[in-house]
Amino acid sequence: MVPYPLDRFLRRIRLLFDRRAFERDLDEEMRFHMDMATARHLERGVAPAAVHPLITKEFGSMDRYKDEVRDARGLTLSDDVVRDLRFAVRTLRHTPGFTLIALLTFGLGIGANAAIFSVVNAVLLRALPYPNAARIVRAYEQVKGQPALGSVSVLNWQDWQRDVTAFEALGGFVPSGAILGGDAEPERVRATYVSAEVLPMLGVKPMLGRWFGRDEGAKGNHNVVIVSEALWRSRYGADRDIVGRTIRVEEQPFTVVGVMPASFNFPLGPLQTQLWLPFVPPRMALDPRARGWHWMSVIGLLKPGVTVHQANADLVRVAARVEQENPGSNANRSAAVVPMRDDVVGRVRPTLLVLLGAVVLVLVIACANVANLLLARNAARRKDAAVRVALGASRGQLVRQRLVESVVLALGGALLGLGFAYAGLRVLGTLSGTLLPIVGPIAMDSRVLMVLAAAAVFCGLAFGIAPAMQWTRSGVRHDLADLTVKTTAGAEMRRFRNALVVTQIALSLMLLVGAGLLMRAFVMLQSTDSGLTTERVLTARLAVPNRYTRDNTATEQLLRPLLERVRAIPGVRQASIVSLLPIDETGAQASFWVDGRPWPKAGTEPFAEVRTVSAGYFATMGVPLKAGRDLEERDDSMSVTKVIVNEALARKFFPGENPIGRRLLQGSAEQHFEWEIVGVSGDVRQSGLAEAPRVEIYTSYEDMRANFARGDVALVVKTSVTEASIVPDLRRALKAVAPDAALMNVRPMDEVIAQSLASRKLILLLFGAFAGIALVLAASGLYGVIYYLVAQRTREIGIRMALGADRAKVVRLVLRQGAVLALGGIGVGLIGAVLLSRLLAGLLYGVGTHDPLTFVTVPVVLGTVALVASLVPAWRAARVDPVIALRTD
Amino acid sequence: MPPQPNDRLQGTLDLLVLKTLASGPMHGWSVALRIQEVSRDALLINQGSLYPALHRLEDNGFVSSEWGTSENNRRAKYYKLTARGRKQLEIETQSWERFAEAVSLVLRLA
Repeated sequence: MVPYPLDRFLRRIRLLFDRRAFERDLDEEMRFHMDMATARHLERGVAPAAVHPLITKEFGSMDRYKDEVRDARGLTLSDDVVRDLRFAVRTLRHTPGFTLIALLTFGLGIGANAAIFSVVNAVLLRALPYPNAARIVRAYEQVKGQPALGSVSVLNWQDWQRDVTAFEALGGFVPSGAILGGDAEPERVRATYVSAEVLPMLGVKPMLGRWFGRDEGAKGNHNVVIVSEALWRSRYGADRDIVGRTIRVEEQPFTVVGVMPASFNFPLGPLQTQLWLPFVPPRMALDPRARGWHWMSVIGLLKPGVTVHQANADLVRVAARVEQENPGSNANRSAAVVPMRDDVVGRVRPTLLVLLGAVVLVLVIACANVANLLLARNAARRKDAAVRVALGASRGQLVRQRLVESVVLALGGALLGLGFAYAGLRVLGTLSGTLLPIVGPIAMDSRVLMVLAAAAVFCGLAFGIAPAMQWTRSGVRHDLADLTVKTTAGAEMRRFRNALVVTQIALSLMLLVGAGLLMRAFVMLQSTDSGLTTERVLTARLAVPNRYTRDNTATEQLLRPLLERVRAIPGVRQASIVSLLPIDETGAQASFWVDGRPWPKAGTEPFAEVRTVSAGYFATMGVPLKAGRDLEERDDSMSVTKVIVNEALARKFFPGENPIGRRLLQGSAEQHFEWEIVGVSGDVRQSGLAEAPRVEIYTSYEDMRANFARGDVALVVKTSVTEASIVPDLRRALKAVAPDAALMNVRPMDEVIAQSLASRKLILLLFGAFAGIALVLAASGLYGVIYYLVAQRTREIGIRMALGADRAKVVRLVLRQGAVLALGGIGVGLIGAVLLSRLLAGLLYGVGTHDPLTFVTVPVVLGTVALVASLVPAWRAARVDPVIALRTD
Repeated sequence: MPPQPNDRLQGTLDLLVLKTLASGPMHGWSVALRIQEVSRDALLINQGSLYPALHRLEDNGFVSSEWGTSENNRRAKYYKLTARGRKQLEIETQSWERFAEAVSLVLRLA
């Protein structure tokens, strides 16, 4: 029975820290006993001379019982371990070269793992920063049979709210932006409209003030606002009396009712929302005809004990009812529930796991290297061990000592690795920027450190076990008797070391192939034609104050005058407006049908990307017009909206026909707008370089009038001078037209494209770095084995040379050894690489998972490196002087 | 090292020590005297072996120790039964009685 092991463990640890006092106490305790016994015997009249032998007889050996007490307290084992630790540190210090290389190797392996695991921990493992995180889900609309999840219409959300039973609440939110005015400079902030349910659902209490009340979602009672801690600090000087103050949001007075703490991040993302406003559905969105406008996001809190699966079934049931009641707008539409975390990080999970896998392979290679180093060093210490066995050390003691030594090495390496990881994370932080859907800061928290320590101890035991077991297998005693016969010993060990090297080569081949495939895909992407001519094109987001969209005056009072001024700036060749910058932003889609053809089943109409542009957009962005003409200002006053479609649409819906003059119908069979096609543009990869161009419709920016939900637009300018030089003029032009509007995110279009590839670049860099480390480690592993082989066979080589073998033959002999190992590793590695490339398939744009170029080049490169690694020892072997070699013991 | 459950001899010594301490805190020397007296010197054990037993019991949390002053004014280490130790004493006593009964049954009937 082992009762309360933790208590006892703690008691024992306490003893360890006050070892000297324990010994003193034990001694005093026993001496007290002896003294009492002496006194008693003397009292009873025993002759003083006879007392001592008598007591010794009664008590037994004091030393023996002290030992038993130490045993009972678990001190014997720990004493031994302490002794082993001292011994380990001493021996490691005696071989500084070996120790340094082993520490660096393992440090690199563990450091890379710590860095990547920190990211995995921050993104995938750490709980979402809400008390109710486990029960929070997102709810989406979904077209039946399609995987894509879509936004929700206000009326559908309200029906869901009324009828679902699995949810405690279903809240709605719309991420947006707002311009703060009033006393200080106008400032554009990230704002999110949230319904009254949302903040209580998340469970984070305001730092100051309160959440929105139920009644504050109603029209006329919604001029209240909650600010983030960051905004509270930066704009309002951390004023603790801010609650109740009035601030100006979009030129309207709003009362501050609360401040959320710094840790609060909703919607979750690298750029935190700064302002929360009550979500008040516009009257337009409550019109029955607006049930088909899907534009808001829905978040739900599950009732306790309800699973995501059950909630999903509940929502699907409700959606089916809503579909039945609204056959026009909701035909073929269902709904889906997704756990909040999956929603936030699902996209990056596979990539992160692949990276984690890669970095674990690096650690395995590093461990194999250290094991190989230990084995080589053991060989040099055989005599020492033999002597110690002869002097009475047990095999168990020798093994334990070696294990302690490798664990010390591993922990030391891990400490070094922490340093590497810390540096790596800082670099990673700058590289990743806003790429990761961060749930919290990336840091080495206690979980990372614990996993790291466990990994280090495990690795220390793993790479120490084989070298340590060496002492039990081959007869150590035999070594002492037989010190001269060295070349015959350890054939088994040689096989083991060879296996280690083959594994290393195989694993690094896998990583190199992975890196090669990613690189090929990246180069392929970079050279992909976006469909745009981006040279000297400057882009900027333009924050349009709500008053323009509210009054439908954006075009006349803001955009048109702005464009006029911008076009007048010297060095500007073209300037125009686009609702969503291609490659950077997507999101506006509309269903449509071709006039004059039988209408398809409701809900199965095709979708097109829709971009609103001003005349001259195509010339500015260098998109060729393939047929027809550009949109013109005078089109705006026509009764039928004129549109331009892309070639993809023309090819798909008008094969062999002339689309010019044909009409597209947007909406449903009963209710629709008419769009007349006046031109066909070239295809643009509008959703990113890796995605084929989608069917697209360009409408005139006059349509902004109808676009109530989205105020922001992008300004694109083609210049004849360097893009950056006109930025001050741009800002001046905007200030003159609308002092309360703001330009954001000003950057050349080339940079927009480069940033769209940033995450792929980061993955490539990381994978490349891992593969590089792996290659260096595997090469040094091979070098070590061959070098050792040569050292071991010096006598044999000497004999061969004395018998007439020439140097070339010796070199060939050694190289053959290296080649066998390298080829073995490459063969095994190729199989692994085929499997690995499947995991990468999602990232391999334009490159097959069996890309022949990569699969040929990488083994050749690795083979060459292996050849060089064996060439150095081979050359050394060839310089062996037979006379000296034969004399070596 | 966990105590060996089948080690009857060690277990018996532990039981005797526990039982002795049940009458109140005392130091090792009085435990030794007490066991000797009560058993009328029938149990011939080395007094020294009490100390591993006492430490074993303390390691298990059955007794706790404290330095105090002895009857002749010297520093002495006093052991005291803990609540956990009292429970253990009950368990061990029952187990010992069952064992003794079984043995005497076999001796009578076999």
